[in-house]
Amino acid sequence: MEKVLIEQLIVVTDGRSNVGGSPMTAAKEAASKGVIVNAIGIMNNDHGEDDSLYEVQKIAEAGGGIWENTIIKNLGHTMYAVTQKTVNKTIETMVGKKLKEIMDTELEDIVPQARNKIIEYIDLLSEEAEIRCCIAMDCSSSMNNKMSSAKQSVIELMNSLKGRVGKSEVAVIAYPGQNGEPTRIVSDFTQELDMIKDKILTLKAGGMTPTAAAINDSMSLIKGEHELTLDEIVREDEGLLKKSIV
Amino acid sequence: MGIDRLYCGEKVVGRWNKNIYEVTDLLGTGGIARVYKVRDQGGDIWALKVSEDIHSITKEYQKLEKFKSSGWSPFVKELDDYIRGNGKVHFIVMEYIDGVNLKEYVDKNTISIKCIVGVAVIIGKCFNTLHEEGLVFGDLKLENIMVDKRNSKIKMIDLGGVTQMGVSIKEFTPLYDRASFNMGLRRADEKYDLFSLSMLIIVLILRKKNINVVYNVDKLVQILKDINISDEFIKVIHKGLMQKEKSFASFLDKLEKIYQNDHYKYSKGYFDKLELAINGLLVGSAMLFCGVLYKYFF
Repeated sequence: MEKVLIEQLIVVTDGRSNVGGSPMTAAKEAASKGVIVNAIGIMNNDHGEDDSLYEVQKIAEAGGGIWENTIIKNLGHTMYAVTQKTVNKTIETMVGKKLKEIMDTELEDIVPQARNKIIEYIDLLSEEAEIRCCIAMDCSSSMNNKMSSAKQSVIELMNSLKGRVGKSEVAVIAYPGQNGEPTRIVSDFTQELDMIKDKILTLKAGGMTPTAAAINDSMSLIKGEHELTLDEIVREDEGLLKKSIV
Repeated sequence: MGIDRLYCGEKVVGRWNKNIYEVTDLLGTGGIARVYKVRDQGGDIWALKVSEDIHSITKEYQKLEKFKSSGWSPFVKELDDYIRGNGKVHFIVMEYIDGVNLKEYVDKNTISIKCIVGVAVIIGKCFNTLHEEGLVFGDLKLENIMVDKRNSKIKMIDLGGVTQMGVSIKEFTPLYDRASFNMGLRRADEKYDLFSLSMLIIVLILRKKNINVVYNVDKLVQILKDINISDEFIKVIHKGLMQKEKSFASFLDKLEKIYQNDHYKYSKGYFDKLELAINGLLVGSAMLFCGVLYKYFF
């Protein structure tokens, strides 16, 4: 059986991008490189539509993904649901194409009783698919009183993904970063909950909302092109030093 | 849901089997499906579950088909498509159960501790048969449990959460989901059902009080201790939540013993009407017991 790798970005935001380029252009660019861009809007109350979250829908549409608005308390659950849907959608499309190729038919045009075999195959592929999920977390000033729930949601997502058979890796990028940087890599891709737990404790809110930069930098991280920060260089050098001492 | 509601009197025509069903009532709406009461051309009444989601409806049909003669799930008749305007929907035709779900029931009635244990034993037995087949029930909740008015039997009406052991649980309700309590992975094993059944017992005991806010096992057990139930029963529930019981079957054994020996209450100081009736009848089987439940409250 073939192994499937699904690369997705989840943009979490509680408002409109207000600095840097267009997040829609960035999302489109990401989609063209095979990364699915999903977007989740954080509503300030659980009733009524929030105008500032209109962009959420636009980002997801441009990025070939899905969008959802939720309250901060349900963010972890929503991120999991969005991931699940993305995996299913991707595999369904893939198998649908194959079906068309081989049998020149669609699932819907097969006798109902015979559909099950194909659906079981889709389920199996979904269960075993490898997921690389980058979360771009809005850390602008307006997120200030939501940060502890935001941190909790990352842990919740990782716990949920651990139930799957396939490998799941999660990375977290904060936007804006610190000291005037548009973004900051909070944690690179890892399967280890403990690794990410400590790192997300450092999430702090404050500043603008550079959503486009967040998408671009997440892309670099997903594609493994990110530049090492000074911190990481120092750490890696220490490793070398230790080795040479031994 | 993408599709509009079917209207009363609308005739659903099967694309493949050509059977015709006339819609008479809407029975319920879920996340991805609606269930209608329908009449076939011979005048028989059925429940028709409609969804745009071909995957979930096909999977549910397979599970219903597998257990259609088990007695605890509704009998399933067929799976078909219905072409409606420009859209295509998929539907399952299954036994119409005349009754109420447990959620509706407990919202309106008091339910004694003995009855709660009895219900848990019945559900536990149905889970046991699933486990023997290498399956896990998964999405347990009050809304998915129906009490049939005609014969007072308990039926599990939504098998959408039934999952093969070893893979991840996709359909769940946080209140009954061990992962939401940080008590384990959202992966199908028999202990997943052990946790959800223990939670069901607690939900039935505490009803709406205190439950929604407390996603903490220790706190829940503490709340139980302030209520008029025996230490023995609390211990069993606690062990169930911790999933420390050696197997699901041994949990079920203990529940049954508590039921049979009346070891669920702390003192015998308080009797409700239902219990007096039970004691009077010396009911031995849980099944029969629910017959009494029905007589008094439906």
